Amino acid sequence: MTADDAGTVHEAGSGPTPAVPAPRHRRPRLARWRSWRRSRPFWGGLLLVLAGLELFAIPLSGVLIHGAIKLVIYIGIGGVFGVLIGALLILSGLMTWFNATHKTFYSIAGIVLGIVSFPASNLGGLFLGMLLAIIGGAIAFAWTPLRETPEPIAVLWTPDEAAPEQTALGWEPDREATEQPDAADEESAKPAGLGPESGAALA
Amino acid sequence: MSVDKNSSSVRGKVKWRRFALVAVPAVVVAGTMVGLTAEGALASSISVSGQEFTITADQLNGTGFAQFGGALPNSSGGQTPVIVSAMQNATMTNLCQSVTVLGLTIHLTAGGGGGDPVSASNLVVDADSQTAGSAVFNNISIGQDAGTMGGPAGTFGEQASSVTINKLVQKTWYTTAGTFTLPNLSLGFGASC
Repeated sequence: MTADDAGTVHEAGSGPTPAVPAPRHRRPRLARWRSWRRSRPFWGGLLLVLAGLELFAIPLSGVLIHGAIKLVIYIGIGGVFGVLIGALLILSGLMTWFNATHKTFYSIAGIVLGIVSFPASNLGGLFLGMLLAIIGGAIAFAWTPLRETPEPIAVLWTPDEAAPEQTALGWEPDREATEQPDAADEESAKPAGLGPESGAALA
Repeated sequence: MSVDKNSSSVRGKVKWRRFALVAVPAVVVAGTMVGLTAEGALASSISVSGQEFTITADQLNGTGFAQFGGALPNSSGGQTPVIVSAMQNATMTNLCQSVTVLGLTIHLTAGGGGGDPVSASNLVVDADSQTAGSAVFNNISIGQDAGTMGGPAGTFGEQASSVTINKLVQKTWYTTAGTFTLPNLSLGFGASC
C-alpha cells in the first residue's frame, strides 16, 4: 500500500529521500521496537499471553519444573482444560500482534476463554488469569489504528464542512469536533468516507 | 484493511469507550459465574500441581476411598514421597486452601458458615504430610496391594468404602478433582490457612 509506505517514511523522519527499505533498517533498534509496538494492540496481547501462562502454570508447573510427563497423564481432564485454555489464550494474544487485522476476533476469543476458564480451570487460575484475559482482551479490542495522513478522505471533503454534516447525519453524534482526525482514522475508513459524500448529496 | 503486519507505521491507540463496551459485559458474565459458583450452583474443575499448598477442613466425608504411597519427582531430580488419597466423592465443611502463585499467597475458603459443604468428585490428593484429629473408616481393608487401586504394584495400600476425617490438615503437592462445588466461596490474598 502506498499510503503505508508514505507513513513509514514519515515515522522514520530522518532521511529526506524516500528510499523505502533502507531507512527502516538503519533506524535505531529502540525506535523500530517502539513502532512495532505501537502498530499493534501490544499491551492487550501481552496481557492475554500472561493470562495464558498463568493458567498454564497452576496445573502444569509440576510438569514444567520437574519435567515429568507422567504427571500429565495423572492430572486428567481438569489439567487438560487448563492447558488447552492457556494455550489458546497465548495463541490469541500472539495473533493480536501478528495478525492485527483480525484483532477483534482474537480479542473477543480471549475474553470468552478467560470467562470459560473460571469453571474449567482452577477458578480461572484463582481469578488472576481470568481477570488478565478479560482486561487484555478488552484492551486489544479497544485498540484502534490511527492513520497520520488521511489522504483519501481529505480529497472527498474538508474537515471544516464535514463536522456539522456528520452530526446532522448521526455519525457518532457524541464525537467532538476536535476528534476529527480520529474520525478519519476509524478502522472502517470506508463508511467514514462515504458519510460526508452522501451528506453532500443531501445538502 | 489498512493494518497488516508489514505496515509498522500505522499507529494506534486504545479507545476507552470501546474498552468499556466489551469489558463491562465480560465482567458482568464473569461475576455471574463467580456468583453461581459461590452459591454452589456451578461446579468448577480444580487441578493444581508442582507446588506445596495447604488444605484444611473441619470435616471430610468421602466414599470410595483408596490410599497408598507414591512418589512425585521433585525439582532436585529426586523423588518426594507422598501419600496418594483418592475418593470418588467427598464433602468437606469449612474447606480452606492456600497456594502461593508468583510470590502471592491466595487463600480460598468455601463450605463454611453452616451452609452446604463443599463437594468434589474424583478427588485425588498427593500429600507429603497429613494430620487429622480423628478418622473413621468403614469396611477398610488394610494392606491391599496398591497395584489394584492404580498405585505402584506390590506396595502397601488401603481401601475403604467410606471415610470420615475430622480436623484435616494436609500439605499437598498435587490435587485434582473432576468437579468441585464451592458454596460460600471466598477468595483472599495474604493469609495462609
